[in-house]
Amino acid sequence: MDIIVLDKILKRFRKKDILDYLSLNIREGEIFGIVGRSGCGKTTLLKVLIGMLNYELGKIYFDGQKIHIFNKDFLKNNIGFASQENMLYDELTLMENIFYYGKLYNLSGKIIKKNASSLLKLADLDGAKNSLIKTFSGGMKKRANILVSLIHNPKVLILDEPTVGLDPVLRDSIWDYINEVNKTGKTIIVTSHLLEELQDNCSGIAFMDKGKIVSVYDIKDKKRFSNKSLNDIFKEWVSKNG
Amino acid sequence: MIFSRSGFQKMVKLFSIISKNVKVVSRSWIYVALLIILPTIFVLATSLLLDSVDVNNVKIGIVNNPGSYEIRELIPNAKFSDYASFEECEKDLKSHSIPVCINPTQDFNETKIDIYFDNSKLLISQYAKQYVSKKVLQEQLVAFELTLDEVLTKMTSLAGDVALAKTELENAYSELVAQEERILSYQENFTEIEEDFQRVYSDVKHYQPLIEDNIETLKEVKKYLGDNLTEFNQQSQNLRNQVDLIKPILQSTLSQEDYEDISNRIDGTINTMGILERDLNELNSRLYYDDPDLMLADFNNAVSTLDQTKTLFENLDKEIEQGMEIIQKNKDRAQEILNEIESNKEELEKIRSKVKSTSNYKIVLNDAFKINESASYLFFPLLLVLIIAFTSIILSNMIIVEQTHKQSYIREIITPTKDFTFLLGDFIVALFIVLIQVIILFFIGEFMFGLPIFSNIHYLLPIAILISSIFVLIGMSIGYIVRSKNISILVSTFTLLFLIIFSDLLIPRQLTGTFIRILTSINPFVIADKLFFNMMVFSETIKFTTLYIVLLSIFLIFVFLFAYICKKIGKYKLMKE
Repeated sequence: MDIIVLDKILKRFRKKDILDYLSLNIREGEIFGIVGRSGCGKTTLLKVLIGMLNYELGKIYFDGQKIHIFNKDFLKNNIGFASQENMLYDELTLMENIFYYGKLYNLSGKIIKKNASSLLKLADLDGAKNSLIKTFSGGMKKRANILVSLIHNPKVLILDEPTVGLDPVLRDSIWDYINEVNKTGKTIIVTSHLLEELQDNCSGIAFMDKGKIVSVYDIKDKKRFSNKSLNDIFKEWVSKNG
Repeated sequence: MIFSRSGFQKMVKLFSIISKNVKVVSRSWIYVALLIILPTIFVLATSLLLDSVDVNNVKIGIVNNPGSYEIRELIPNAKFSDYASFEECEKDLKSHSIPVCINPTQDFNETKIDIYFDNSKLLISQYAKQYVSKKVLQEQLVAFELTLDEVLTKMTSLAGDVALAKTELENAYSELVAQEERILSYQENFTEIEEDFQRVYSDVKHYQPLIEDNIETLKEVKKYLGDNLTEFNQQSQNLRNQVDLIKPILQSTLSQEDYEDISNRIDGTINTMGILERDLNELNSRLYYDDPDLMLADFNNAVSTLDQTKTLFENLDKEIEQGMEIIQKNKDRAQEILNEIESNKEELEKIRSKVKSTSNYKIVLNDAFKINESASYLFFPLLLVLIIAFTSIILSNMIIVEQTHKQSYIREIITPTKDFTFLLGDFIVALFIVLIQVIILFFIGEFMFGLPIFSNIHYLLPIAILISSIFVLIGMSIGYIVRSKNISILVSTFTLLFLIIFSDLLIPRQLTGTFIRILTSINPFVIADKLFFNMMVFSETIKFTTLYIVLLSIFLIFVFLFAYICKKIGKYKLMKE
């Protein structure tokens, strides 16, 4: 079942079509990767998905429900977002950040505590919950960032280049964490330039170019990926399409 | 639970935002330093500066010319810098070492005092002008009052003298008129006499040849009579002698009767002859005394005298005419002088009334308020507003700029929380921080400067909140709308400068044009200064300041809406990045 359906989304900035009648379906429970060259419209697509940006034309369906200006909060309450940068307050402890954002999602203290307890264990940050974020290492910050994005128990988690700037060991640990989150039933949408990671962890990949989804690949399609890696396919595609 | 939109949840969200902001700010030592320590140090340093302010410190350059001693007497307790020449004094004035240079110069009997001010330094120039003018004015007012009294006394006396002179001149004029009448009457009589004389003179002249002929005849008659009278007298005597001889003869010859008759007749003839003789002798003697030559000489003398008298009459007539002319001229001149005196008298009366009315205006330099005049006391409200404005605008701007540049801000945006809640949360925290400063400043004002703050705290605190709110929202609005950190701080600083420039701080708004004055009068900085000043210095209650409070409240609503719009615009701009 598709949890997200984007139907011919048009987004314009200064007479330029950033999303050019983009259509995309994302299945519930999968880890879906979005790949594209810089400036292809990935970030704009994510902003539209998290309800930050409005769009001129097209339709978005989330969990079968059409999204419009009056029920944007439905989308916000069901989507978690973590960018490549730290989206937490360095001056607050992890727990304070959890509580702060939990309250912004209208959660009661009891629910926040309950959600935080399981999420802290999952992210292996239980021991650091009362430490200030600024004392965290890079990997801890990434995990804490994702953790807070999940505090309101969203159905979909959107991650914008979650492993950028991390060493391979930390990258693996982050992906382990993402997979753990995915196992809890969350749909995860990830953008990254590290295609090997996506190939290893995603079930579906979409190639994006000039505001459009140009190809969607099923990673389980062993036939397609038997001889070529995703990286090779992407390079091939780039050389063909400029 | 997740989709609950109850008021309680909104309050929880608001509290959560406030709590987060307080934690973020309080855990950053730079904020603590900027928000609390620095303003406190600033107030203390400024109070130290203001405490040392004394207009008596104004250095007055004075050129040691004659008259400089008197100037020193006029401005007691002043700090004078002595100069041997004006050029030296001017040099120091132009190099801003002194704000004022006094150059007394002797011009004939007058002492001219040139005072030069350093008009390139407006404020110190004004202070120097105020200081020198006030001192000189105070001294001169006393002298002026004394002089005015003296002038008035002299003028009153002069007016009396003029009135007296007028009366005297009027009397002289009346005397001239009387004299003129007398001369006219005299001229009239004289004319009559002259006419009579003229007639007599004409007659005399007419008879002069005849009289002269008669006198010549008389001369001949006298000579003839003189010549024959002696003979006649002898013959007469002879006759008498003969008679005497005849008579006895006749008596003897004639009857008695005839004799008596003839004797009586002879005696009658002798008597007649005696009478004739006597008359002739008398005539002769008269002629003897009345010498015809003498008579002629006398007559000629008399005629000559008459000629002279005639000439005299003619001259006198001319003189009378001239005298009349002179009197008329004198009369006219006297009238002119009288008119002039009358006009001068009126003028003098006007001046006297003016001087009198001026003397009724006793100029006394008074202070409208009995207050502590120390600069730190009077400047504290302004200092307070300045710090509130500075802290509120700059620091609320910094808080917002810092916040909106963090990725955590994006996370906040994607939560189902209204912009209004964030705005309110940010506002309350910024206001809270500013109010901490305000309270610190209140303590300083109460215990260091002796201002009646805590006795009026129930008025002052709400107003401080109102004023701080406006400035906080201005700073926040800039923070929301200007995305660049540096430009945002720059715009905040310029906004602050704009508020300060269009206030009384640089130029009193009474000196500015209508448009600028209106602009200045609605400046929240100016209103805040006025409110704090009136409440702190004059202990004015809130009811006297209702209009300003209403104005500030309107301003608050306006800036709140403005801040909300700015937040929306800022968010939109962020989304497009």
